[in-house]
Amino acid sequence: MKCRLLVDLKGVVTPDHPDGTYPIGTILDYSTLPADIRNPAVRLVRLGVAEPGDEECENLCGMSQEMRLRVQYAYQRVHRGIHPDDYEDYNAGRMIGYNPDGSPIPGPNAEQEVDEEESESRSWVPEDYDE
Amino acid sequence: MAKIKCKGTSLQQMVGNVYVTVAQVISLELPEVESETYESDTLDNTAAGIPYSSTGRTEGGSCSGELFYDPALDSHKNLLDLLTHPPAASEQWKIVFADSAASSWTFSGAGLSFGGTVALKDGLKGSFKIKLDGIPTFPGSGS
Repeated sequence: MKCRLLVDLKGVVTPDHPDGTYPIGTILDYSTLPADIRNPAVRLVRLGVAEPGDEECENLCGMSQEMRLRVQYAYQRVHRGIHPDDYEDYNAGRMIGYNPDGSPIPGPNAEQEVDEEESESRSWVPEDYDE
Repeated sequence: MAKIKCKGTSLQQMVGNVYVTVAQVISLELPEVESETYESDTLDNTAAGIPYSSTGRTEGGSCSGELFYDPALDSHKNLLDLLTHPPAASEQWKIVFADSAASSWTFSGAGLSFGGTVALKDGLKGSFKIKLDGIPTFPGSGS
């Protein structure tokens, strides 16, 4: 069972990944493990880290395309280390991460006032995304 | 020399052969790694101080933390899965700090405990503790 990474990740150092980096697009093959919902390919897709790499994985994930987009969006937020206190600002596009000094990295809507209508600032969030 | 902010720090769990960030973590208590010592005083010691010596072993301690718990979130289901389906081998974990070099501590976890708090004036919170198997690998060093 296979999946394809949607984010750059670190992992086990192998001859194919000598620095432990697994870039976007890497195909991970877990065909030697049991083909059930605990297979890493399924878990990585359900976490929003990867997309199914074959039909078997897609079927076991049991997720619609919309659900997958939602978890992928949520994982991007987690991957950037966004603290839950800042989810609102991140979702509104006012920040996209943190500088090494802890200050927010401005997002595309950084200039907007905090109390503006969320519906306007959330235009880049999947429509059915619900925190 | 710098004072590193905590925001942006992440706890990562190995899934398959890649590290995946645990969602909605609020705080982390780093493992309190401690050299094992013994009292090495002798009757003929005339000094007032009680001497100690190292056994040459190091206790890895535990890594604990708190998160906003979402029972439906796969990231949190993966944690509880460690309790319902204990892995045969140690789990691999990593804490990635928010410095410019993305420094990290990696460690093996022998076991996990998970609980939570439900309070009227707060969000649903989960607390966890990972018992280390061995000691962490620190930046620029071996374990």
